[in-house]
Amino acid sequence: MGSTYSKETLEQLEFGEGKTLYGDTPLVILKAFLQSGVSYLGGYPGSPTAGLIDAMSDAYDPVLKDKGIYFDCSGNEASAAALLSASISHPIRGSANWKIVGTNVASDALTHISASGVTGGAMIIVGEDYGCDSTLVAEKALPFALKSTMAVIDPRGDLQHIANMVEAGFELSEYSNLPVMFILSTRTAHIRNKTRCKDNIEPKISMLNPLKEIVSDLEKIPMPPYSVEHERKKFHERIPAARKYISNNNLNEIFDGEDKGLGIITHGTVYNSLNRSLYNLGEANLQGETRIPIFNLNVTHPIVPEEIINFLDGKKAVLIVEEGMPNLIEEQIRSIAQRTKLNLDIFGKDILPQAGEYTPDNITKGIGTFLLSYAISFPEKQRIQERSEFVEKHKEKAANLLKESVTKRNPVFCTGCPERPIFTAIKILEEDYGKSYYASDIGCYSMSGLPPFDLSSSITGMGIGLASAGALSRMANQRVISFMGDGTFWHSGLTTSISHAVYNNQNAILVILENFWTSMTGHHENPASGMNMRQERVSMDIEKALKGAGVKWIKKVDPYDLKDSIKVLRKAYQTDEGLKVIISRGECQLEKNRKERVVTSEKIKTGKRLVQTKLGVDPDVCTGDLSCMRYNGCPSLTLKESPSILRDDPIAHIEQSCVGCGLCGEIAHAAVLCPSFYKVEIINNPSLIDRIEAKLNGAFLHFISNDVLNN
Amino acid sequence: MREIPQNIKIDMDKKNELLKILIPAVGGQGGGVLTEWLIQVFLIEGFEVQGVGLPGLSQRGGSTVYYIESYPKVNSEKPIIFSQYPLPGDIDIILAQEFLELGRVLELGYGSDKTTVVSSTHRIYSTLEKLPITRGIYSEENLRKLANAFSDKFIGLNALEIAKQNGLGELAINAILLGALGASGALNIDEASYLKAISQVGVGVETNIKAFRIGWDYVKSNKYNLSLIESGTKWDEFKKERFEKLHPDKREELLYLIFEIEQEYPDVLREILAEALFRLADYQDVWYSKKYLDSINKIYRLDRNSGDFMLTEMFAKNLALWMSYEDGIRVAELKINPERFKRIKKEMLLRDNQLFHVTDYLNPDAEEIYGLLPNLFVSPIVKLTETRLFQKIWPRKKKITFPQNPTTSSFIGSLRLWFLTKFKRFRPYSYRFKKEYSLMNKYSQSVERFSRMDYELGCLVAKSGNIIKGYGDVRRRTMDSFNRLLDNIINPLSEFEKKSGNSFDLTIDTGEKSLKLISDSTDGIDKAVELVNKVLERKAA
Repeated sequence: MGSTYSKETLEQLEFGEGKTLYGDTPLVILKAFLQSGVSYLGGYPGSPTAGLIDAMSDAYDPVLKDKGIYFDCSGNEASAAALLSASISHPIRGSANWKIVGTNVASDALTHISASGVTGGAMIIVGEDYGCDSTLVAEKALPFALKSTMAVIDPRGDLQHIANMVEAGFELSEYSNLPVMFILSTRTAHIRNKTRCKDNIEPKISMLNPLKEIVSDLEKIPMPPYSVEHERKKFHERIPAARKYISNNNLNEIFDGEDKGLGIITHGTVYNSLNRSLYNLGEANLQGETRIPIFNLNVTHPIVPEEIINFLDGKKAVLIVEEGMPNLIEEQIRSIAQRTKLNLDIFGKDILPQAGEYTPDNITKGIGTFLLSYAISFPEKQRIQERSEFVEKHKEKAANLLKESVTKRNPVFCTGCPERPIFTAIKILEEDYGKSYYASDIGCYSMSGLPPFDLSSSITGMGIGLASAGALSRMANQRVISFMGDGTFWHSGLTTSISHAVYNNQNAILVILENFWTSMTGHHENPASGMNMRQERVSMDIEKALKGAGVKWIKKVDPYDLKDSIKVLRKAYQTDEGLKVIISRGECQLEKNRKERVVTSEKIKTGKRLVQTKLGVDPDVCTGDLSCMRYNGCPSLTLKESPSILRDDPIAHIEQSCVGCGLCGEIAHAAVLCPSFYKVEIINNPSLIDRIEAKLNGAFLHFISNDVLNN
Repeated sequence: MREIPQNIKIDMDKKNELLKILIPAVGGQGGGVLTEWLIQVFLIEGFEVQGVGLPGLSQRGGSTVYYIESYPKVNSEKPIIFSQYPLPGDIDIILAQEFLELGRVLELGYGSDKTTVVSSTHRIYSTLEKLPITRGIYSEENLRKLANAFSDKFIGLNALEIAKQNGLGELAINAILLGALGASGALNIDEASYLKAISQVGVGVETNIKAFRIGWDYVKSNKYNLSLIESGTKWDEFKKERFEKLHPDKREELLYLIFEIEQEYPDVLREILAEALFRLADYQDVWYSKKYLDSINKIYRLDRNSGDFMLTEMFAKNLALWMSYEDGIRVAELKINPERFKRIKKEMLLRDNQLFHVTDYLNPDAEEIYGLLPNLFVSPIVKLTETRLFQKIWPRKKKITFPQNPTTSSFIGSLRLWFLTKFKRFRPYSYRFKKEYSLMNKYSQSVERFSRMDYELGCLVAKSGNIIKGYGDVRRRTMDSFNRLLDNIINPLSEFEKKSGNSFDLTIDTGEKSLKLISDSTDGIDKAVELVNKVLERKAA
């Protein structure tokens, strides 16, 4: 993987007290880890926390290794979570991270660790992508933490605050024995700003200073009779301890205001949106000084009842601005108020949107409604009314200016992508065999469900696409085709889908797209890369694993050989029994290109002969029917205006970004489309033979050229 | 009465002090670096700043956004509470990498009458724009409308074109845009700070500083306002250019036809007609061009008083393309034309010390081959193969095609194509010619007939000729679509309306809808016919 973080950037990780670090959220979090004296780190890459894996991986060699900090290239989220077991009986601090949906994969490990409780601080950074910028399902982490009894930190959108909360999180975890879940929303995960540093703390236990003796504490093992005792401890000891720590250290914040009769309770990242919303309504300034007092929960679990009671006491009305459903914070606050018999009005999801991200524009109207109920003066009312309705009205105006709405841009497979040709082949075969049931999984190839391919009947992740078609393999007339990347294969696909399919004699075709990288998250090593994220060599073979699991029908194809892929797929289509696995092997073009670019320019510079390939479209041969686009989806295959003024419609065109994979030409052949495509082989630094050949050819060709011109 | 307490300074009307910059971009086009430059600019100026980028989340070429907030005065006691989300109607600057992306954020309401919009006007087409068989590109005029309606100041420049003209790569658009923003005066920051920021970030410093200056000068010299005016080529030059490309023997005869257009047709049509005449003379011979002009004349007679001559224009364009349908002979001529290799060399930016080979992907099907043979000979055989008995004896499951990859830049590779060009003079007697011609005649006659019924209806039929495209199966499918459009849609609907009254609104409206369906998917014609049947059924009931 190409480094994301430069040497200079990483050097900041060694900064001591008082120095200023400039960087993004992952770097700041990693620095906070070092300032907390962590001993081990791990995680499974996924947006929005993929950057954290980048930072740890890039920093491993120059920084972490020397400090003896163990960095685990976790096989999936469950193995990342399992890593935290090191903290159960030993005073070792550590952290693992993954994206929100990974929590589901990790749940088994988390349940056990949470039951035992931790001695050393254990922190899970969960990338929460509630707006679904890069996640296929919208989900919140809080309900999950509640059921397993973990503390939850949800920081404001401010890098310094995030760093402070990471450090506080480890303390909280150790004080209460609860593992801590640290929520990082998509936007807070991608902030760039400056922060003040503290000295790093050397880890007590590390690879350089290993444990002298393993502690075996039977009481920590989740097994009867201790299991019931664990459950008692959770609620009678750990939660009360956490509450004590939270309130003693003021982890939650009150932004006091003049209007003591009213109040707003919110949490973490939403605070920033709330403040902006109040600012635009004329109720707060940019520094966060506000007319109505705000209680901001930086720890959303456990809630400290005394803090809530103190805030609610003596108020007429309070608004709870809580993002996501189920609205557990609101329900808890309502029950605290009811139990304490506080007499006040509580508003929440009744006037704010039930679902969706709480961006400033999504909450402004609801906040306006709350303020209007208690505004007294007419100008105040008028101002709030006007301003709280402004955004909606403005949005409507913009949306309605044009009759034809602006065309959407869906993500596409890269130029030269080795995954794309298989979908081309399947698309071409649809002409002969009709549509199949396409059970997709999680990876770049999920995009095969989008135009131009439209090849997804379902997406179930991760590693369970094939398994998701288990019943339909026997109950549908259509054949089942499933897609799985190499990362997904090793994540869980081998066990959850493949061994299950062999065990059940599932009649299906599985296409494994082996491109040697977990590309979707920004190029992370996976077991197919031949190297782990610590840059140590590994050798793991998909084919051998398949054979070991008892798969009989295995074929390998070169994705760029479209003809062969079609032939092999056809064979699979015609074999109506058992699991057929096709491994399509070709390195991710982005990664390949990154390496080749250097070699190419070096060769050209030093005068070595080098042949480069590019594809083109003859603008006078192309009629603009654009059938080629329906089978391809290559970004470099695009449109341009026809050179003829007679043709109003655009024609196909290949841009200079073409990497010469030749797929478009192969498609024209395989789908019998048109003669417009051509391949150019450019010979840099031609040899003597090349030049003699060219001279001879030129002489002969001259004869034909003249004839053509005179025809 | 409760007023806002005075001890809290709530700056209700000083909103301008907080700068909010939205950068809509296409994933993978360097938006992250552009954002980083701006953050550094603000840090150099001593501002408080927060940048939020969603790199990679766009997942390869999808839409993505970057967002920056900055506050001029640093108050170390109380830091600014930044928002991580841009707010519609509350953005000071939109800096757009690509024109459609600008359109998308403006449609979502991010622009307003206080926004300075700096945008590249080049387009990276989205997949959905590439798929329709006729023009699917989103209207640039609409994008300009949005930009003008939701900005205080709109600076649109084709940064990609400017980069190319200056010998810079694609990614230089980012620095060009930064330069344009700097020069727009929207930020009131010195040039030196921008240059320092580019150096500090350290990505392609030399190139990007050059690109920044180009963008800066472009806006300072007000060139972006001029770039909208395009100069068309003069008529005389237009003629001369094409004459030189034409075979000398054909020139004199064609001159008479050109003279005829100059005399008898309005100025707006003459370039189109002349282009068609040259094309057809090159395609076949001057006799063929003359035949074309005769057909045009018939339609033009109906169009004389229309003012904009849309009917003739659309008919002239489609008929010319149709008459020069791309058969093996035409493709062979184009593929071995020496001009082609000059063009390729130029397009691929090849230097003289580089050699190149060109290989073509040719895969004609059986009909494209036998279509070149004489109709007299082929027609009976085709009829025979279409009989049920024949198909029973020899059921063909697999299509017969002739895939080949000749290296057309070599003498050996181009020989067989050269041989094919020799069939040119026999083309008018070929099976394919007869087949194309019969549908072409139907087209001409339909345009004439429907124009007499209703001018707009005639225009619709004339326009619909543009759905015929492609080679082999694709061409046969589009020809079939066209045939069915006339027989099963336009004809029955217009007959129905003729009986019921004078307006053809329903025919025209349904015809337009059908064309959209045909354009959008390969089975569009089936959907269109179904739609029409439903419409007719409903009307009948």
